[in-house]
Amino acid sequence: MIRWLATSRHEGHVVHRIGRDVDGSLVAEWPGAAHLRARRDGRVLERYTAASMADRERRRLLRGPFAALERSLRNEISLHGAAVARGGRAIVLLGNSGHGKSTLAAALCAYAGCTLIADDVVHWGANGISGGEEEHALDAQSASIFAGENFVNSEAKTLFPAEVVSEVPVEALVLLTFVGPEESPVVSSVHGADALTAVLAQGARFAFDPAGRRAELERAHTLVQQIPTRRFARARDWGALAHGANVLADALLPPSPTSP
Amino acid sequence: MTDPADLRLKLPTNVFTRRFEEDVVLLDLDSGEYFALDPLGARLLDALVSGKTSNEFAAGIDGEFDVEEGRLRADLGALVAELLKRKLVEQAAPAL
Repeated sequence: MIRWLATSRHEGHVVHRIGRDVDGSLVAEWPGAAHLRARRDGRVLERYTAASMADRERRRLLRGPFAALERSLRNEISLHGAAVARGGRAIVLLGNSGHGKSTLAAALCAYAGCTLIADDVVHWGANGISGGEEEHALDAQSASIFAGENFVNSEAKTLFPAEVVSEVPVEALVLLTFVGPEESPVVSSVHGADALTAVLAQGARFAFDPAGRRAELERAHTLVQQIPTRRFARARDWGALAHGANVLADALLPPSPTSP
Repeated sequence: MTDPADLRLKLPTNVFTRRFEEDVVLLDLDSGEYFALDPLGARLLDALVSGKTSNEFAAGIDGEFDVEEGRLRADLGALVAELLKRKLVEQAAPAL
């Protein structure tokens, strides 16, 4: 009998949930598709994905959410976010669902010379970040934004293969917000508790116990002490995506080596 | 009923704090809820855990801010009430 401790729903249906079984093992479930079972000490008991799952989706799940949950038990940092790199440096885009992380990551790759590191899950290592996904994952509306570009298959949700790299040093964590339609995109600094809580909110968590929560706060604290946090405010305007992407990239990242 | 601003308070054992720059984040280890305090709130928390009441703290910083003392006391008292409501502070046992 599993006691579910956190549940994500979409249109009333459970899409993901995390709980604890009577034997103390931790369980993460994507109903009908996959589940992960592990001990609190990080020992993985079972990684299951449905046989009907496409290979690409299986790889995404194993490299992204599964890895993030397993890493959190080893006190390693993984964040829910997107990341791109240019000139050997990366930025990590953080924001709640609907704040346009994937779309902005795609725009940074399409218009500002960046390469994708992660679309949904970012793993932190000793020398920087690596990604949980191989490809962008855009919904139909976001994919349609890039429909004029020659890299888009309008039927597909995925674009741009991610550059497979080991770890990329991080220049900044970037919190995404929207401003009014007439306002120009702006990059500003974020300090103190605002930075800490923003990172805390996006941390992967598998163990919902006091020790796990305390470790989470410590991990977030370590991260914001090491990496500057910025806020990127831009209009919710598809037409301004290219300009916004260039403003953000030019403010935080070195030029692309291939730039004139 | 005692004004929260006159209560002597302490951190419950299930609340963990982490300072970053001049701010403080309080984390309820049982519920996972966290709450951020700005620099003035962080100073208030320091004062509370050192045994002062909110009103005593307000009297000590009177004149530091361009705000009337009654307003300062009220704002700090409201913050204390919020921390109590969220169970991020609790009443200290009265001295014997």
